[in-house]
Amino acid sequence: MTVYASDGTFHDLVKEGAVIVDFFSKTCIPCKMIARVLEELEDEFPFLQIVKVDVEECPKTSDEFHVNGIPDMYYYKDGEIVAHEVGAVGPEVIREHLAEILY
Amino acid sequence: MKTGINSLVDYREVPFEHKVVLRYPDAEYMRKKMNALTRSRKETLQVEDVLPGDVVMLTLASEMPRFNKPMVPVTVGGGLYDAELEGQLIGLKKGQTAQLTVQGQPVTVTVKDVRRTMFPEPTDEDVKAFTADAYGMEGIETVEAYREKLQEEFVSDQRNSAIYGTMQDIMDYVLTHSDWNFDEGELNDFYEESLNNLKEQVRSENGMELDELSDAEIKRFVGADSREALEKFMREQAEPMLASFVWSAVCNGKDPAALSVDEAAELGWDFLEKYVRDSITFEEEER
Repeated sequence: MTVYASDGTFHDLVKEGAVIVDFFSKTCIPCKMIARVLEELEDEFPFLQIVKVDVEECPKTSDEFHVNGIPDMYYYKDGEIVAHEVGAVGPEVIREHLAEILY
Repeated sequence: MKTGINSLVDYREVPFEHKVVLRYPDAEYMRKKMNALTRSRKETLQVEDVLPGDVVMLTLASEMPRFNKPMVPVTVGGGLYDAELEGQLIGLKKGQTAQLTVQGQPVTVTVKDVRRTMFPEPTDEDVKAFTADAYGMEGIETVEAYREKLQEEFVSDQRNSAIYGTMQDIMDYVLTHSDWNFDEGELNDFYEESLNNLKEQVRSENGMELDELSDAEIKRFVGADSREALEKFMREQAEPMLASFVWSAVCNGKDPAALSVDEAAELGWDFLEKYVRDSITFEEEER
């Protein structure tokens, strides 16, 4: 399931389970490429939680995570950050991290 | 640059595959890509028999902790949980308990639930709605044109992979088989500068100081197993990087000794890309 976070809801959304956090901007082309990859992954693994954070609409959360380049992705398992990638990585890299946080 | 060359392999004599056959995407790849068109209308159904692509909820019992858990969601054939186990789930039914063998050991599996996501057949209207906002898809308005575009992109990706992969192979060969005269001071300066750049990157991206990170944090943020492994890796990278700059300078018709490291680094690899592009013949497989 994909949900859009706000500065107020972010921490609640990542505190349990396997979660991918995607810091993005609507005007960023690499972010759109990542969005496509994440949508396909969600088709295949609908039990995955994807939390999208629009950096323009969530300035507090973006500052807290020192987001300077996007896409910027964090992989959470039960509230702990397991991996972090900046930039438009390929689907294979995301799948590797997914395997880490899901099982 | 103070680093020099004792003997240099001619990149034009490095062997590589000159003929590359470009494949077309298989039906599974196309199905997943076409699903994007009707994603907003997808439905999830509860079904009885397990097929590839279904999402099953499993309860597993075995001596292996990984396969001894209640209520584990698994996409059959997704390959993220365990390909060997996933393959044995096909054909099982909801509610069924089965004895499987994974890694040579018995695993008891109960299929608690089976769900299947269904996507409607796309129409030209779906294509128009999707491509209106999709980068690089301008002017694509029919299902057939969309399918063609996906196939073109797939083939184009293979072409680029072959070109850049070959460039990398040639670089690796030349760097390994040539004999370089490294300047110790230059190697150390390069290492220090790379380390400082990494420190700045960690500061900027993570708001943390590299020197203060634990090994676990280094693994998470930088990808190295430990500080020691990171420093070793960066020292090892200094030699091939400096050698590549010297080589690039020579092939761009410059004297490396007359350039700074930064000046040599900026010269680039256009000469190699042109050579590879001109040398590879692409053939498309029959559809």
